[in-house]
Amino acid sequence: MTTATLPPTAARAGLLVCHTCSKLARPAAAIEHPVCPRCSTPLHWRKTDSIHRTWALLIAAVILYVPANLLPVFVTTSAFGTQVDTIMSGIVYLWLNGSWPLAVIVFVASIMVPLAKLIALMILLVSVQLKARWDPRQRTRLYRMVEAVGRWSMLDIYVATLLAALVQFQTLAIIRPGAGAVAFCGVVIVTMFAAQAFDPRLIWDTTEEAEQAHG
Amino acid sequence: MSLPATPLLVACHECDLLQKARAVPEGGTEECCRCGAILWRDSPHGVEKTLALALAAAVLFLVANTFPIVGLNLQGNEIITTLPDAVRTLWNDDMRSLACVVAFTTIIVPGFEIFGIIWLLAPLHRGRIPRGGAATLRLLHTLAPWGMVSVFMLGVLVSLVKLSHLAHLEVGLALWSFAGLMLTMAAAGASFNPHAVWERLEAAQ
Repeated sequence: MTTATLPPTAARAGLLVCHTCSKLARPAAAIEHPVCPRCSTPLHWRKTDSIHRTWALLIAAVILYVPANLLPVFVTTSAFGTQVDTIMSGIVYLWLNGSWPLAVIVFVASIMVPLAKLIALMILLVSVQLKARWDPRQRTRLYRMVEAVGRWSMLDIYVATLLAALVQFQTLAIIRPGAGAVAFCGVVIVTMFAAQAFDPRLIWDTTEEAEQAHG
Repeated sequence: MSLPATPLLVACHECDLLQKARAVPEGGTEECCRCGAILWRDSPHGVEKTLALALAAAVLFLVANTFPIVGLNLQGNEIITTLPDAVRTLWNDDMRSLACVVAFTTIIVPGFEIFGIIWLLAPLHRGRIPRGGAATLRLLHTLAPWGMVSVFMLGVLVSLVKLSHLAHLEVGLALWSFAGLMLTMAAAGASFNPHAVWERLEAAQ
């Protein structure tokens, strides 16, 4: 395979595409930090240090994931003593109280989605670093899903907020959010930044490179 | 190998493929022929539709943030909360980081999205160019992932079920407003076409 048969990309044509407004620009060679002529967003051939930044944020998220699941999300103080709930015990409570559809929703949003996001981003990073040839279209779709579902993990944070605001009966029961909620919120935010730091165009760049090397 | 940077060429954000812009059927979408990413959408009467929905969302947003979401009645004690109240409780509970995140994702960003769109589209609708249009549109793009009204709405429903085991609940006006806000914001997002706005802003420069 020669360069001539490679698919035409903006980068190969010497064009930069703006992330914000999609305008194509041809940067002057002398300019070190080109900006979009239409909306002034800084332009890059590929997102800066995409692989390193994504890994760094991903590792931070994995570390935060441990306290997020072990520390209490809710602390309930009542006449019967203090009860602490982690994310998982909150789900078990919902399940045992007969609201199993909600238990499933919270389980998907709080346990499955963050875990699936971390694993999916790792697969994408490793596949790019190893210059894997595995179907780039599927991998791009995986990336798109990671970006779309991330926000839904904030669910438990909003539940903690509302319960803490409502259950304020001084003599009967008080609910306060626990340290686990802060860590969990951290996981959601850091993984959202990790997904933004990853550049899906690298999937295509490395696939083209690998295909060229293998002929 | 060089290609002219004409408006007729578009590059995919997700795979960088350079392709010719094709005509999109009315209300249709154009997808990247290599990776399937959505390149752009055609929304007939996009400005008018989005503006109408954003104005409706603005009213719902104000109601949703001033009226109680839910009231809880336990042995004669009643507690009602609005969204700003809930944020204040978090802040006073020494959960300041959480209070900031909740306020940012459910009040500040959605508020900016609604009023930012009105700021942009109201002048465009009358054929004028909005002040600070490029900066507003850029900020809308950056903040888009952080507006979480729909997730908050689901959080309200989960909380209601959890609390219904505990005490008597009274659903407030803001709950319905949040439901309406979620729908109008989703519809406004679907009819808003930033590409068309960028082109109009550029043409005016």
